[in-house]
Amino acid sequence: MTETQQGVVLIEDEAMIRHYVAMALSASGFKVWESGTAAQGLLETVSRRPDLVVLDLGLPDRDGVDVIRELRNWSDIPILVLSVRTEEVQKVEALDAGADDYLTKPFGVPELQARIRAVLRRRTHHAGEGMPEDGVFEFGEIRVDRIHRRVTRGSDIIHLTPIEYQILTLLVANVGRVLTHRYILQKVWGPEYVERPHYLRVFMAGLRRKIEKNSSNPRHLMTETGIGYRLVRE
Amino acid sequence: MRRSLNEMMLVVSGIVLVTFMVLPLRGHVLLPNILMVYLFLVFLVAFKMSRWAALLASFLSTLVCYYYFVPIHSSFAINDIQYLLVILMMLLIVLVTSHLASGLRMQIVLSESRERHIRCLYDLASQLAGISKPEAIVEPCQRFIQVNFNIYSILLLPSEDGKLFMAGQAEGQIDYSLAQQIFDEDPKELSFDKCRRSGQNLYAPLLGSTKNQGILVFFPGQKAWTVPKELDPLLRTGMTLMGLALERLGYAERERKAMLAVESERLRAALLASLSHDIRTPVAVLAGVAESIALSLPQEFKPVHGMLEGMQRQIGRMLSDVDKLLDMARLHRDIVSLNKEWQVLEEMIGSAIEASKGVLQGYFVEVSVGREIPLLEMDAMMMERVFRNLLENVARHTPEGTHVDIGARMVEQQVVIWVADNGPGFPFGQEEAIFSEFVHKKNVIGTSGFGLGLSIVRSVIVAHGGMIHAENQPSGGAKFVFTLPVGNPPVVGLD
Repeated sequence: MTETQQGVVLIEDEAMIRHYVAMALSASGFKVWESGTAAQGLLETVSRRPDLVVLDLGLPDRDGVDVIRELRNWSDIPILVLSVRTEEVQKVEALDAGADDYLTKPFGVPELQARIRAVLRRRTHHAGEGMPEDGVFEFGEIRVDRIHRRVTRGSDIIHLTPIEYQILTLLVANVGRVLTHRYILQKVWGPEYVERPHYLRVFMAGLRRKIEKNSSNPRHLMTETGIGYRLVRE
Repeated sequence: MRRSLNEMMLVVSGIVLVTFMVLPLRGHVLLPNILMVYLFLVFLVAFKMSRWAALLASFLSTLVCYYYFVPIHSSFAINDIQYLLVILMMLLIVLVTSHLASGLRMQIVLSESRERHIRCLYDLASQLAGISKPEAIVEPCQRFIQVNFNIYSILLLPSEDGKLFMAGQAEGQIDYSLAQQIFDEDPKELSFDKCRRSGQNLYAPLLGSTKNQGILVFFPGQKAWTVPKELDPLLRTGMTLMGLALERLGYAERERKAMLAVESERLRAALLASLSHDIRTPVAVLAGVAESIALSLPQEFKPVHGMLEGMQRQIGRMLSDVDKLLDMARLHRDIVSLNKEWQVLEEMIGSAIEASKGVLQGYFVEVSVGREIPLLEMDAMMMERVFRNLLENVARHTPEGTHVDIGARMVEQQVVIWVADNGPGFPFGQEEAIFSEFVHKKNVIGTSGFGLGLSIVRSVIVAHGGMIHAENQPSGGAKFVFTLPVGNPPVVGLD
C-alpha cells in the first residue's frame, strides 16, 4: 500500500459483518473508523476526511441512498456500497445517486480489495492502470488505442461501429467499476434513451461477438444482472 | 255478496229518505232543482259504492222522479212530451255520471295499492341491502310475505356443499327432496315457472343470475290461497330482490375468502423472506470469518486449510439454498409484478454461467444460441436463476467431466431453450416423476435442494408464459426443454 496510510469510514449496522470487513480492511493496510448508524457515519466522514466510505444500504436510521445523496452534496469521496442480493433496485439507485461501486454480501477479501482498488484508482487522476497517458489500454488480447481510435486483437484490426467504440472506451475509462445501464445510455446515446436498456443490450451483444473469444461466456465484458456492465481486465 | 246486498239496501233507503224530504217541496220549486238533488245522490253512491249500487241508484232515482215529480204527480202518466225528454236525459246523465265516478274510484284504489306495493318493495330492498349474512335475510323475507299475502313462509338456503337447509328459526314440514330438485335445476333454465306444489305448500326458487340462490316455501295452511300460474308480480319482484341479495352475499363471501388466501400467502412469503434474511446475515459472517482465517493461516497447516475449504463449500451451499428460499418467497409475492425488460438471451445465459462457475468447475459448458433469437421480455434476475438452478442441478446429479449443452432455437413463433447433459440421465421412467415432483411440491418449506430449485425454475417459466418438461436423450443424458413466447420485440436501429 501507499506510504501514508489511507483511511476508510465503514458504516454498517450488523456488528459481526462490520467487524469482519474492518479486519479485512486493516489487513489491507487501511486505517478504519467504524460506525453503526448513518448519522454517526456522516459525522465521522466530516471529521476524519477519509479516502473512502464503505456504506451498507440497509441501515436502521436512514435510507442508504439518502446518505449517498447527502455525501455527494459536499464531497467527491469514493463510496463503496454493501448490499444483499435481493436489493437490485436499491443498488441501481445507489449507483445512480453517486456511489462508485457495490459488493454483494457475502464477499471474499480478494473481491473487497479488488473493488476498493478500482474505486480508488478512478479517483486518483494519476496515470494509473485505467488512464494511461499514451491512450493505450490492453486487456486480454485486445488493445484499445484511443489516440488513433483503433481496437486490435494481435495484429488484426477489429471494426467497431461508433457506438460500440464509445461503449468500449467508456468501460475502459472505468475499468473494474460497474456502470449502470442508465449511466452508459446517457453517456453514449443521450438522456432521452435512458429508459431503453434494450438498446444497450443489443449493442453489447454485438460488441461481445467482436471482442470476446466466446460471446456466451465472456471474460472481460461482464454483465451485472439487473444493474449494468463491468469491464474486467484479467 | 253480503256487502253488495247491504249496499242495495242502503241505496233504496237513501232514495226513500230523500224522496220523503223533497216531497213537500213538490210544486214549490222547479223540477230541475229536484232532479239535481237525485243527481247528487247518484254521484255520491257511485263514488262510494260498487258499480251495481250506482246502476240501481240511477234507475231507481229516475223512476222516483218520473213517478212523483213529473206532472201529472204520483202517476206514470204524462201530459207533455217534453217531460219524457227530461226524464230520458236525466237517466242518461245519471248513468254517465255514475260510470265516471266509479271509474275514478277504481283508479284511486288501484294507485293506492300500487303505492303500498312499492313501499313494501322499497322497505324490503333497503332491509336486504343492509344485511351481511345469508341468515339475516330470513326475517325481512318472511315479514314481506306475511304483510302482503298473509302467508307463512320458510326460506331454504344452500350450505357449502350445495345441500339445502332451513335458514333461521322456522317450523314446518319440508319436502327436502322436492326442494333440492327445484334448486338443482339446470342453470340455463332458471325461471319462476319451476315452482311446484307439495301438499298445500308451494316451493318456489329464488333466482340468481347464474344459479338458484335458495328455495322459498309458502304455507297457505287452511287458507284457500290459490297461487296463480304466474306468481303475483309483487311477489315476483320481491323474490327477485331476495335472489339478488343472496347472490351479492355469495360474491362478498367469495371475495373475502380470496382476500384471506392472498393475505396468508403474503404472510407466508414475508415470513420466508425475513427468515432467509436472518439466516443469511450470520452465514455471510461465517463465510467471511472462514476466509479471513484461511488467508491469515500459514500454508504449513495443510489439514486446517482442507477443513476450512470444506467449511467454505458447505457455507456456500447453505447460502445458495437460502437464496432459493428467498427467490421462492419473492416469486410468490411478486408473481404479477415481474420486472420484465427486453433481454438478450445469450447475455443472460452468459451471466448465469458466470454466477455458477463455482459449482461448474470440472464441467464443460457449451452454448449455442441461434442468431435468429429476438429480444425476449423477461425478468433478468429470475430468468438468470432458472439457468443457474438448471446448471446446479446438472452439477449435483452428474460426475465431473460431464458436458453441458445449452441452446436455443426458434420453433414456430416460440423460442425453445434446452439445457442438456451427457450424464447418466434420469432413472428409467422417472422423467415424468421429476416433472410431477415440481408440480406437486407446492409446500415450499417442506421441499429442499433438488425439488425447490426445479420448482422455482418451473414457476418462473410459467410466470413468463412458457412451459417446461424433462426428458432423457436418445444418446443418453438428461435434457430440460422449455419454451418462451416471442412477444412483440422493439426495433433497435443498428447505427
